[in-house]
Amino acid sequence: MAPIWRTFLAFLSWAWHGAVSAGRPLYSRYERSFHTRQSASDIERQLAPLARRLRWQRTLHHMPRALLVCSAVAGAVSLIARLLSLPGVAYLAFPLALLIGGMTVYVVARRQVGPFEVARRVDASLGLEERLATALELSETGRDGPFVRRQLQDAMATIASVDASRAFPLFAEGTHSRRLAVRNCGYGAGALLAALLLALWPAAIGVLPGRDRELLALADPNRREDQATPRFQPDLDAEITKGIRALDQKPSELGEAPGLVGAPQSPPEPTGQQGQAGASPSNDARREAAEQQNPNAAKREQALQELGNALRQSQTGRQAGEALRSGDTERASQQLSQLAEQARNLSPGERQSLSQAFQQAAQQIGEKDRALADAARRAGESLSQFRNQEAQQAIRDAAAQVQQSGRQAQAQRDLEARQQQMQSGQQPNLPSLGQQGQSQSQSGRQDANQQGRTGASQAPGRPDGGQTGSGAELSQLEAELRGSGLQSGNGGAGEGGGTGAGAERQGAPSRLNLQSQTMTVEAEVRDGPSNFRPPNPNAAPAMPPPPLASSPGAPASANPVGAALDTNTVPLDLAGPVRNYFTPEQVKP
Amino acid sequence: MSIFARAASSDEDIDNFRATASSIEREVGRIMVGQEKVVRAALIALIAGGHVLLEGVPGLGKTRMVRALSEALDLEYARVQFTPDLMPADITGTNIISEDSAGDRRFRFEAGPIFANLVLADEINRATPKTQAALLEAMAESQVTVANNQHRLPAPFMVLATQNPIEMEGTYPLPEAQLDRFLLKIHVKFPSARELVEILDRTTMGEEPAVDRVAGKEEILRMQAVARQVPIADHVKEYAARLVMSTHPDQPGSPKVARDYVRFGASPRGGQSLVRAAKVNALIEGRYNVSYDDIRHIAHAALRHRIILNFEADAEGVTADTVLDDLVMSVIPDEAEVAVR
Repeated sequence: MAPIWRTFLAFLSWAWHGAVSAGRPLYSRYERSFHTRQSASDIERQLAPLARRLRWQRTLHHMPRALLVCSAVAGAVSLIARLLSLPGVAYLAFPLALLIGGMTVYVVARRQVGPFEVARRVDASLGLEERLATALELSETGRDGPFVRRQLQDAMATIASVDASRAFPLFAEGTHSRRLAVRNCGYGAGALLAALLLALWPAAIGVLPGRDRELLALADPNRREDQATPRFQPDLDAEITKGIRALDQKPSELGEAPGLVGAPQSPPEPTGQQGQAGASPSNDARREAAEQQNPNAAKREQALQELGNALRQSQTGRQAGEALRSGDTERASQQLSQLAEQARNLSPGERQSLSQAFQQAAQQIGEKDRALADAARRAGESLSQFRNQEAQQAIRDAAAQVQQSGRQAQAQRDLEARQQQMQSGQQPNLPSLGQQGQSQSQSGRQDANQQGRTGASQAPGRPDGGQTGSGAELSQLEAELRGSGLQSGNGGAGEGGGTGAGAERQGAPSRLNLQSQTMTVEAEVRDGPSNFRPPNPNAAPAMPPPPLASSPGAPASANPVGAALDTNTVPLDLAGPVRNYFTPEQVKP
Repeated sequence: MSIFARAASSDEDIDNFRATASSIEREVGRIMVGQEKVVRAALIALIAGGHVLLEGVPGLGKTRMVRALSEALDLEYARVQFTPDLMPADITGTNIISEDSAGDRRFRFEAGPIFANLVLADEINRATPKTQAALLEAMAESQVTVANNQHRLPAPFMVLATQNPIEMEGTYPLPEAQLDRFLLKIHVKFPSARELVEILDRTTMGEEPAVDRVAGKEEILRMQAVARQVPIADHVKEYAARLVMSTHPDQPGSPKVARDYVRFGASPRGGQSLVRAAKVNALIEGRYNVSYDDIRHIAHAALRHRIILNFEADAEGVTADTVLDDLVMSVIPDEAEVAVR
């Protein structure tokens, strides 16, 4: 830390001295400030007005340098402010620059000028051959003699004829100071303009105006010339998480069962259709995403096939090619990795054959999978040129790309299968559970699923597939999406969510059941005040109809569905709460 | 009373200084056509109490100039033609046995040609180093030691040595120690065509012009004393010191030309020579102080023989004057001077 601090201080010191060096005094062993008029020597009194003129000249000559300092400070601060997106600081740059520039001018203007410096500068300016400085030095040292007297007389005679404006002209034509001033003014004006541009450039446009943004907007990922343009890279993880959160907030769109929370009063409906209708907005979005991703996935699979075809032509890469042809990308990746390890030991013939295979694959893959094509091309080139290290790396890259593409394709296939499964779950594609639900709907009872859920509902009739899709299946899907499935880009997961189960779950409700569903309640018009009350969410459903007579001796399962309470479906430890739950209040003692 | 004290107390000496110097230059100029800078440098060296090494091809009037100078100043003049068989005793003198009227024999010092005010060491590089070294003590301390007896040389004492830069066979280049004793090294250049015609006119028609005596030993000594009192400001001395230091390639901040081509830089005696000669130059120019221009004016003559160039300089044809040109340009005397450039 200390070296950094010292370096920073050294830089500040250097910058400060550079900013005010125009007024640096000349060294002299005898240099001092001017004496008062009474105690000053004759030559010193003659030098006093010249000293004032010198200070004035030095201050004016410092102005262009101060302008340069101001502009540099303003530009630097504006640039920093723009880079750090601090628009307020950019506007503060100009007062700050003015302050620093003013400080340099103040320092220069306040700096005292000694008589020796004045004498030397007058000597140099008027070509007096060091007459004044020598005379002043002789008078200062107190020496006496013919030379001292003559020198002082000569200096006094000379200084009496000195014109201050001629000795210290202000930006005289052809002088170094004039050239320096013009140069500094030019640089300062340019820097100031740049600082103003930086500070006043509309913030909405950003640091890079115009063309780059247009290029960015028009960039086509399929055009090679646009590859250099930075593209919008969505955060797939965040997008998927956001989608899942949206699904959680709208379970009905996935076919959430309407009677999970409240007492189902609605009549049985064609739940499959309801689930489809309820899930339609989400399904549309997922379908669109799938339609966008599927072509890329298909291209990748096609690229893998092309690579497999090309590698099969090489004896060395035949196994990898076969694996690719058979769709076993994991094995193909392993084969390619082994091939990379053996690349150094390949015979010239094998090397040439493999190189040709890779180059052919690169050509055939082309735009279908650029990364794979690039790896294949590099592998082919480096193999042909005997650059073993690069060849190994390129083949490893190809192996990694094959593995990744395979996983993505697999994930895509899984998701599509899941999507189809969930969509078909609204249809009676799960015969056993669906039929069971249908049969149980007749008795107002339903097996929610095989996890021991029990639902007593008057409006069940939804097959288990729907509940599966909206419950545990979604959680599993979410887990998959958060895993490798994200890389496949199949963001439209959770396709066709659910059809609803129509059964109320037991135990702790799952996350998807937290939202209630608006239900349509049928009512009858009768005389007198209505006995109907809004259903109490905590109220137990109506008592089931009395059991029908069954043939004696027959097992309970032989009874018609709903003929009697099938307490066997309730776990023993939950029997009490279930009984209390389903017992009407008016029946209670 | 020393000559310095006597001269310092006199305003008249200061007033007469420039007039005397101008007279000397004028009288020598009656013999020497052109070569004003050479005459000025020789006069500066004489007044500064130094010695001069004249380098030039034969026939340029070096010997004639020295003779004219001695005639104008009424100084004792001696010429020594340096040859390989010249011995130190031939220059300094030696003890010889002499017999008086009583028949007693005793050693008597027989002074050599060096016991003169102006000594012309012609083609000094043709003598052996041993003989050349015989001049060291004389030039540095104005005395000669023979058989443990020290003999003072007359004042003023000045050695004007010449050497031919082209005929180097059979010569013995002066060692650095010997070169350092010379205050100035002056290049005698070939005259222009117009000057050559003037030389032909003067030397081939009628009688040669005579040189009038314009000053004597006393005047020269007073001028030497006056010149030593010329004030020089601190920053001018500092500039002279920086110029000398810049000739050293191993000094921090030395210019690139010094680092590239110089093997050894000038000695402190070079700085002394610079200031002494600059003071005389200032007085001759009518000023009572030394300026930067005086230093620059004399820098080449005072430093060129004190800079030892390296092999790269020899290979690339870089001379000491070339190096000094760059050094004078690169060593900035004062920021005040920079500001008005």
